[in-house]
Amino acid sequence: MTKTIMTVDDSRSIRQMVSFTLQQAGYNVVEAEDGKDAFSKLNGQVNMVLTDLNMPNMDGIELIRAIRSEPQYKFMPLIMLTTESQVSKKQEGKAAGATGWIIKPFSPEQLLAVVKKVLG
Amino acid sequence: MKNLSLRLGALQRGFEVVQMSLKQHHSKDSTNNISADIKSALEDMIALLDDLAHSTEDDFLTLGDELQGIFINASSLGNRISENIRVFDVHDGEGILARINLFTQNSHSQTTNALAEVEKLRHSLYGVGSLLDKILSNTDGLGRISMYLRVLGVYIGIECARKSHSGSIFSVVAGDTVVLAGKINEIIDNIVNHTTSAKRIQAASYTNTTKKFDQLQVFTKEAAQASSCAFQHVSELVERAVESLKRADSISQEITKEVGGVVMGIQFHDSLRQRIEHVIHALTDAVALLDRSQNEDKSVSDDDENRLGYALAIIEIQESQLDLLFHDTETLFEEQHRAFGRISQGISALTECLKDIGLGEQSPGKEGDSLLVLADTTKIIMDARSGSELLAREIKQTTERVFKVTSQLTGFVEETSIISHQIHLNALNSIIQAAQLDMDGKTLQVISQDMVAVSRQVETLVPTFMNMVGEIKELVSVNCLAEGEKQSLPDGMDIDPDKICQGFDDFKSNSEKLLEEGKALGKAAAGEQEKLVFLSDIIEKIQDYKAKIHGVVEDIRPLIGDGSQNGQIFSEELAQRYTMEQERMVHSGVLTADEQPSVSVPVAETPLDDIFFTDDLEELSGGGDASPPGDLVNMDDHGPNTLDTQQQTLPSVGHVSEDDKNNNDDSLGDNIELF
Repeated sequence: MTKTIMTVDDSRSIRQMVSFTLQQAGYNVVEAEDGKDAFSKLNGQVNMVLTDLNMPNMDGIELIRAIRSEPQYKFMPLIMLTTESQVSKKQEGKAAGATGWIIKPFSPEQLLAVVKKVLG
Repeated sequence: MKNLSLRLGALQRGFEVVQMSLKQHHSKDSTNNISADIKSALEDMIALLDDLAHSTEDDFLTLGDELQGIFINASSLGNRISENIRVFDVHDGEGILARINLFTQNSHSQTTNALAEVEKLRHSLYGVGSLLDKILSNTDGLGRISMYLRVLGVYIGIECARKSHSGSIFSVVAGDTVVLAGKINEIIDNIVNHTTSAKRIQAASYTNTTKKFDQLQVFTKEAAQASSCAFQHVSELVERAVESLKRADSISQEITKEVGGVVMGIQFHDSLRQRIEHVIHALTDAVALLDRSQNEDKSVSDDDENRLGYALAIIEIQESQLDLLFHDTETLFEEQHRAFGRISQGISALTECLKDIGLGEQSPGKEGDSLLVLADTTKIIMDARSGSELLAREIKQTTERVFKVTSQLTGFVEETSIISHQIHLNALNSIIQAAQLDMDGKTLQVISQDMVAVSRQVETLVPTFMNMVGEIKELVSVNCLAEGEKQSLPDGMDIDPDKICQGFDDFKSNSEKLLEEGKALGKAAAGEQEKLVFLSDIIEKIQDYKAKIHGVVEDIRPLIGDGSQNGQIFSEELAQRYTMEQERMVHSGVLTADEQPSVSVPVAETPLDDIFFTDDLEELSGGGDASPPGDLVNMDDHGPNTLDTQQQTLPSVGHVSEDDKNNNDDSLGDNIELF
């Protein structure tokens, strides 16, 4: 069955790139422009979330905390996809429940390798 | 794009206003006015930068959409090239050419076998003919015997007439003998008639089949040679075409990969936007500092100088940030241009390959002839195979007819045998009767002994006839058995020769379509390359802004007293805003002067607390409660590009904790960490 991945980013260009890369690889993609939008679009069909860190309304860390607080998403892979590379931020993301951290810019191969690794 | 240029132009003018303001007010008396003017100009620039950061996204997205289209088309083109390869791949058993090859080989082999079988049948038919000749020959001997028997009968009759005392008995013998001789003659006539008829059938069939057989042999041989020649030529063409297709396939994959890389370059906008946003935030901080430097008593205090110094440092750092952004955008532009150059070269090579695949555009008509010859010869080989089978059936039918005719000979021969037996009995009876007549019966006795000899001769001929008929039966049964061993091609091996040309036409047509699509792809890529001009606009404008900011920095510097701290220190908060290594590097680089790290070397993840002691901006601007000058890292007189000796060396990004190291998945890349 085709897996569905949500890409959360306030940058349309990043959403465009992520969607393109994943769709070419055969995944379904759901787009959200910030954490709040993403959380409202979670419907049990999403298998993985790729989220930016700095976004209006609800940032990536808050989104991860919100998702992890829902029992049904306890084991869902949540990957940060951000320009942020500070260790302290990574630790914050890890503590919030992030599965991994990708620093932009990414290559399609890297993104797909991560997705494959965490989704199996 | 025009909007972008207008916006960038307006932004540039904003920086010019700042510069002009600073030039016009370089005395302490006019510091307040300067601050107000710079503040106003910076606010205008902030608005323009904000516009630049967000409105350029559409240009990137449009380019991204169109490049995705090219990527999909290139990918689709590659897939269809691969499909076309499979249609004709010689080495793959599924390819049409491979099937034709196997088919012609099998057909030729089967035709040869069928002809060999026909040859065998023909030989048997010839054998039947020879036997029929022998039968006819033997009937002559039987005829002579019959004639002699008749003569004996007549002679007995004459003897009976001469000698009245033996007349009654021998006249009966004489009559019987003549009758029997007549019967034998009738039988001989029947045998001759039937054998002649069979011989006629055999001879006609043999002549006919021999003619057909010779023709088939010639056709088959010529078709095999022509087919082999045509196949060889077509194979060479197809081999070349497939090689070209494989090259095209490989180039297409490279193009797809290259376009994919260009598409991914679109994400640079996210970096551009964030970095401009950070510049805007920093300039907003500078505006706030300038705002607070306006004293009501119109005098300039040390604090004011410090604030101006902070503002200067902030603006200087933004100049450096823009400088790096300029270089990064320029690098992106150059990389994209180079990638497009490679894409164009690839597409050009691809179309050349696809032209080669046209199967003979370089030698018009030649391959068409070969294809027709291949199709025709394949048809001839198929016809020869069925012709051979037909001929074999024809020979068998002839043989059966001959057999039916000759099978009646057995009855005739058996009848002859019975007559011969009667003659023998009659002769023995005559001998006994003649003996009773003593000397008068001497002549009759001699004649009767001749009759016995005649009957023995007939008896001797009977097995000869029977043997020949038996041999004919044997030959016929061999022919019937041979016909039953008819061969057929394995399932799925049959090929319609008319479809051979159609298959090649389809292949050519597909290749022509691919060529057209390749050309369209080239045009599309060239069109997209031209659209990269918006990146060069951005580069140009960023370079201009950087120069203007530098002018601002140079103009603002004299306004700061010699004893001031020159504002190289600003809040940690500003540093914390940066999300990218590059930004942090620039941030620290401006302050670390000569030891400014190279752009390509990533700098610390480590918080800068140990290096920069400053409080946040709020504290800095909180009215006289700024951090004591002694706690600041000093800059020397050479400006912000020098470093106080207290500056610590920043660890590189590779300096990570053991825990982090364990979490890094090297196979995924340095920028990826899975927890």
